[in-house]
Amino acid sequence: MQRSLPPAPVCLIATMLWMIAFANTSLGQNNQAELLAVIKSVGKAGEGHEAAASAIRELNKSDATAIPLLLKGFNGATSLQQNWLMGVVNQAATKGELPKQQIEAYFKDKSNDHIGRLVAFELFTASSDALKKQLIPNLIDDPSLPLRHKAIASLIAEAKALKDEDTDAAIVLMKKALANALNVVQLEQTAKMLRAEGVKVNFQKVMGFLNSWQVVGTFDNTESEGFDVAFGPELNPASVDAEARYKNADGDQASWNKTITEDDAGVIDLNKVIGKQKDASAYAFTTFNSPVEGAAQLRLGSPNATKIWLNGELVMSNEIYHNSDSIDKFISDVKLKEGDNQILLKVCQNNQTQDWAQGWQFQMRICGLDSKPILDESLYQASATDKKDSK
Amino acid sequence: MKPARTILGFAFATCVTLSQFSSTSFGDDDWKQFRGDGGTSVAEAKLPKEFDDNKNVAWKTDLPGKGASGPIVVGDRVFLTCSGGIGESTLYTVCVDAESGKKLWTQKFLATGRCFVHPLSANAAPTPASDGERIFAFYSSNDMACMDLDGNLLWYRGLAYDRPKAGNDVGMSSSPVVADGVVVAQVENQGDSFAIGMDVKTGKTIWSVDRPKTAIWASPLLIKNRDKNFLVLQSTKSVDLLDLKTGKLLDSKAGSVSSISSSAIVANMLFAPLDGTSAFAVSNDGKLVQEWNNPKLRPASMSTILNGERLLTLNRAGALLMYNRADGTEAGKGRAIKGSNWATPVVADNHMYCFTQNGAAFVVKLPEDEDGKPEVVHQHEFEGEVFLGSPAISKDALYFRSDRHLWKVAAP
Repeated sequence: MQRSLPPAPVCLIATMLWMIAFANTSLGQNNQAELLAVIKSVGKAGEGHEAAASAIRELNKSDATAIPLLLKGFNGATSLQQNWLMGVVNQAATKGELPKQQIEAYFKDKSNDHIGRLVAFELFTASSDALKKQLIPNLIDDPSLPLRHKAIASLIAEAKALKDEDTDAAIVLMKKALANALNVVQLEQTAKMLRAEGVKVNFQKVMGFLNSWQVVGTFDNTESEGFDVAFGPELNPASVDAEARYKNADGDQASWNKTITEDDAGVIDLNKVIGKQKDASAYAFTTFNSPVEGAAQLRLGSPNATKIWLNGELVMSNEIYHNSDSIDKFISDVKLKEGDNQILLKVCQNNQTQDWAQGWQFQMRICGLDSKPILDESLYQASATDKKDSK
Repeated sequence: MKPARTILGFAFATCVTLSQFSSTSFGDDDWKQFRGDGGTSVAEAKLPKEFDDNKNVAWKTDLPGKGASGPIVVGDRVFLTCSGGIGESTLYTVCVDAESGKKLWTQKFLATGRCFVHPLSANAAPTPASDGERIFAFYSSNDMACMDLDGNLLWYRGLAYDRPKAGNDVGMSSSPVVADGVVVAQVENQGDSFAIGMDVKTGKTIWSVDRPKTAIWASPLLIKNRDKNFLVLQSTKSVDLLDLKTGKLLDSKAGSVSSISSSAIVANMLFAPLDGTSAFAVSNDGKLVQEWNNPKLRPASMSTILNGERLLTLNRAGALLMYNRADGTEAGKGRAIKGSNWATPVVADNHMYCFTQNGAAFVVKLPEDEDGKPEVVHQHEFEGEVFLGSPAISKDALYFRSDRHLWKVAAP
């Protein structure tokens, strides 16, 4: 029987579709690299989106063989750009056989991006729990925080399982977890477990909370307008004088008062230090003696509107009241001097009346870019945050 | 000639295959956003009046994370969001085959904004939205991922990456809406507060407007007059009507407004939780014309349901309060459920389906007239489950999710 070809328009459409289909599997590496560069031009507020939206449609045609190149794209990418890449990788991983050796090699090279290595790890271990079990313990000091988190979680689970059978061995594991963990929840969990076994933990030091401050108040913050008013202490934030006196909201001369907190979470509770006030602002000042010079992160937890000056420079401004007092709620990249660094903090309380809106407090710590606390050792010599006997 | 014919044949086969893989039918049975396409939480459907762990359960599927968001249905696919991982920072969008319950694809991202949420809630609190071609998955961290129905990422925005002081640390649950090529997100919080309209194709900002600095968990709504879509936003002190395409404020009514319960709409009528509840007609030139106000009609955490001629709401004690849509007068009340209720219920065939935080499901028969009382016709406890998200209805099936599972309930 003689078969006839389809009509011409059908042929044309079919050919075009074939070309599209062919393009799916033949995205050359050069082309993919160019498309990756377009994705890595995505910026804030939708910058670069038109080109990136076109580029990702092409990249979405990638199969699993493209994953090593896509992973390299994570290096130097912002967290936003990495999500674009993650979307492509997730789909590519469902198309064809994974080049596991190349993916594993990317994971093993610690100079690669921390999130890229996490994606790689999850890809090449996805089908093997045994492989995960074998690799995870070695990630305990990994620079990739999510990978390190897996190792600490495993260590905590092991310690829990061992606790009743061999307490001393469990304590060794817990101490190892505490020494290596960088995640706040894991640190809290491990400290709690150790204390339950009678082991003394200076949690302030573990976290690097700044526990010693000079405090002065109160200044006006009626209708929250004091946030942008420069009261005495912030007139010269580069050189705060601990002996200075300032005219406060009542017209009196207010002076700095030293306060050292023994709170485990390093909280300076202004409702206790100054007294409960509404529509009020206060300042806190400390000198942080840094053992190192360089890039760091200033991390603040406070339910109040706050401003922070480091060595006279405004490094953080949060005009936000009562949405939480979580540890590390706000993080600013800063540059530390070796030796003394002056930190001035303004903490504003508004006039909300709800029970949950009465907090007037802060906690602060300074970490390196690797999330490890940078410690001013002098802060913890006199502090005893845990009265329990050391085991 | 043979190779050419082979190529053409391959191309044709590829064409057919591609269309089979990429197409999905969708239509009037879709439930494409929080509270369904009409925004009323009501659907014309025949749902089972009884269900439990087995009875009338078509399937139950495991989820990769928790969520206070509800599922949506587009064609023969169910989409929902989940969150988990370190500090709720891992964001999932999951697509499930409505027929079999099989997971068709899962996309996974890492939050770029703050992930702090109340332990009961989740980063995946806003219900996703769809325009029938794309899924807009939004999270409390103010990340939005846009995917096609086959799971291909089309664009990604980190709204708190753009504006780092934006964030609701209790957990933001405002669900996006989409129409006329614009997807809208409301990021109303104590910090950098704004609403934004983005191009559905690229994610580019079309407009952005500052909003009051108070936390809102309620969702934006679309309301139509003739062929024009208007956008309704509520803050704690006003209900605002905006031009969907430009974000321009057209009208505003001040008062005390619920921060959690969203308005209900039907045609060009808006029933807003303002000073109790206020009914407005939206004029074709974009004005809110008040028709009535009832200060006693105060919704608790759920959004008001509009079932025919009645407005329905549950108070914190679990009593069902009913009011006449025409004038806001009371139309009956009675005990309906027990337990803490966050999820806005859905209604089909004059029966209300409620899911509580404590893992209980209630089917409540609604009274036919003002003298009647709501009647609990079925109740079941799902052991160990937490229900926070509003269910979806599509093609005589009910879809609901807990922090661990997604169910489809339908008559066999």
